[in-house]
Amino acid sequence: MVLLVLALLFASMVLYVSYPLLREEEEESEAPAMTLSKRQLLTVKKQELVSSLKDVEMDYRMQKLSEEDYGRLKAEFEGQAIEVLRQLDAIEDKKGKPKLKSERSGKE
Amino acid sequence: MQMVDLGHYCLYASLALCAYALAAGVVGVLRRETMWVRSAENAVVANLIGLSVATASLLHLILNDQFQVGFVARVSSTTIPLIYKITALWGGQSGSLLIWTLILGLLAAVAVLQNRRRHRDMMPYVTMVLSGVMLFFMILVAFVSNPFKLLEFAPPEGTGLNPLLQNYWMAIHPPILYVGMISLTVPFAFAMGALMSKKLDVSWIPVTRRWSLFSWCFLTPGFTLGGIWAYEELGWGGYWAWDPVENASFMPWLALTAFLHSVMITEKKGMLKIWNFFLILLAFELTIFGTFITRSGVIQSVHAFALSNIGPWFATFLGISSLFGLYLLAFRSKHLKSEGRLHSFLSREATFLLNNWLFLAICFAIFWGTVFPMVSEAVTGEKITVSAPFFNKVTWPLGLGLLALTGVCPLIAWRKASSKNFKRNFLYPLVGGAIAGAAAFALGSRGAIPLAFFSASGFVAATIFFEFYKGARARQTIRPSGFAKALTDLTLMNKRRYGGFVIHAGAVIVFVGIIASSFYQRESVYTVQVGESFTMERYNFRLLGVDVKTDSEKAAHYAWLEASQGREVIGRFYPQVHRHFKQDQTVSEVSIRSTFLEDIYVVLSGWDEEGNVTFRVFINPLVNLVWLGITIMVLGGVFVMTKDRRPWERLSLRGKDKQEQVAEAA
Repeated sequence: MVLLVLALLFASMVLYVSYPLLREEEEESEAPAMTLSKRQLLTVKKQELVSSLKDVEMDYRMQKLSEEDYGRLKAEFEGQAIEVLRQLDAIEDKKGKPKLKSERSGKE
Repeated sequence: MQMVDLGHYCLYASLALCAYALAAGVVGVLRRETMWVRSAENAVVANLIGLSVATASLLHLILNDQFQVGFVARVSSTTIPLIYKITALWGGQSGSLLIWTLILGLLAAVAVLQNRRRHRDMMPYVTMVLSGVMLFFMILVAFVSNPFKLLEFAPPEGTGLNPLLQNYWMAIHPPILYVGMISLTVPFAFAMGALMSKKLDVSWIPVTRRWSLFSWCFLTPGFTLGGIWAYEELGWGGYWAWDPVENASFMPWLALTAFLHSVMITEKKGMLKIWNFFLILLAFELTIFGTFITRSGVIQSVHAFALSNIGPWFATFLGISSLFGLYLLAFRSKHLKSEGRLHSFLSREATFLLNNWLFLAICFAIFWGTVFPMVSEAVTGEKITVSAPFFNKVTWPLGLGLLALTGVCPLIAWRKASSKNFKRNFLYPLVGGAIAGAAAFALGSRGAIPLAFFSASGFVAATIFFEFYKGARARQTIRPSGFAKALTDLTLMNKRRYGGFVIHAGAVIVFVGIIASSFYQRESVYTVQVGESFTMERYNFRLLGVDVKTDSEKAAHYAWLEASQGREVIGRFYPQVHRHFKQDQTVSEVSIRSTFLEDIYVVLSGWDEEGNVTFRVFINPLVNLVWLGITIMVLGGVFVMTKDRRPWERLSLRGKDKQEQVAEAA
């Protein structure tokens, strides 16, 4: 009985490991990795920039930043965030695809 | 077929799968063929099945008292309770290595399944690194320290688990610590994957940070539970002795905590990129180093495994993996230029940098103290032991600096702090620090070090309080609401920042507990006969009796004392000494009465034929604050790991003016 379980176990392992080698063509037809990566990268950047903007806003309101520094930092981060949003829009237009699930939910 | 064979075959199958995963990953990268990469990823997942079956087989052998298996005979017996039969799995070298590898297999499989579609450029390399590390451990488990190895003669009874390990904390301390240490392999693999794949933008950081936080949330309670075990089981009155094995688990934590701070600078300012890679590499190598000194027998420790032939393997792996990581880092360093620069030493960036130096300085001091006995033996032939006073002397000032920075950092603005900013934000926290110092002095605290620590703790606590208070007030000005709602929204919408403050609050509590229990511990030794009493401070102890209870495992010598404060009986103490026959080992079982303010800790030290019984009694103030603070730190860590409530995530990318979108998001 144990021998049978072991044989089944090993057979299923071998099958599972070799499965991608048997369906080569389907794998190759998947979406190009680079595009997904760039979109993810921009999403991460967007999150970080918004987070930085929130920090600047809070620091200013908690009187940690001077009026001058606040204005300069805010303008800088806003400029970067706008650029990232433009790039994200450009990718969407190019691909004509809905956004990634990870982008919508904010996952890495 | 027997379970021993099943275990053996599954181990070899897992070994083959690890080797295959590494080879298929290399082929996939060289030939740029996804199918090989996918196959390698599947092999990592399948490896987990083999390891699970092997572990289940070993557990089955232990539970069924199969003493023909050497490992089972060494760590189990027919008479130990079921819970200790289960914990016997990690009670010896080879079994614990199998558990270590199983956890590594599980975490590697989770990391692969979680990220195979998200980080497709990096994953082939990540899979290769994970497989490489797993292959090393599989070689150890299969060939060097195989738990299924049979004895030539099957003994009728096993030796049984080391009595020191027969403690309920040992049921959870090793697995939690193992998860904390092993899971560092995943951030290491992602860091190496990023370097190899040349994906050196910020995309490797979120996944690495999340896994690093995961490790941190296990490492922190992991070494603390070891401290609680030592406190209850070793009977010397304390919980941290700067033992090499304790240090081995603390050093990766220091490097990891430094990383979790410095990575914020990379994310926000694009600085410290090389430094972050270095810290992850260091944290991983320190876990390997810790495993090496714990398992090789090169150091003496109550926590260590016996002398074994495993040391050279670990030393070799440590050398190869360190050189590999450093070479990759050096090779890619030109692509890791800082995007920003330090504008002023009076800025939050600078305090983060200083914080990192302090973490690393503490880490280096502990490392040096830990390896010095080995170094001195190699150089002079004489082993010079470095004990607690060295570690305390070095770590107290550095720890104080770190604690103070915890308060300073949030008060300083990014880029450059102005003098106006200083005056405005530091006033109340400094007053808080002064009040804490004065209160400690009024309560009898003397000495520069404890007073400095108590003042710094007050300063940091006040900083944290005002961060929440002023943050909620600021939020009320942005979105009018009640204070409680503003505070809740503020915290839930920026869990990283405010969860970080919760962790810092826990750290303050830990510092207060450590300082109080280290500097104000009282200890006395008393010898009395049955019916006699002794008094320690406000407590009176009367010895009611002594006895010996013997069973097949041990002779338990115990005494029972009644403690009173004034006329009120506050409880009874039952300190014991167990003499274990099979292991020929004596273990002290202390009796502790714990309250929020202090622990009364009674140890049965000895007795003679004339009826004299000797006790060591400790009064340890505020020890519970250490456990409470660590619990808060871990809860804070878990809170940071959960996702922010981010309504701006749902904002459409279209249909609105970009300026308006960004303003709304912020």
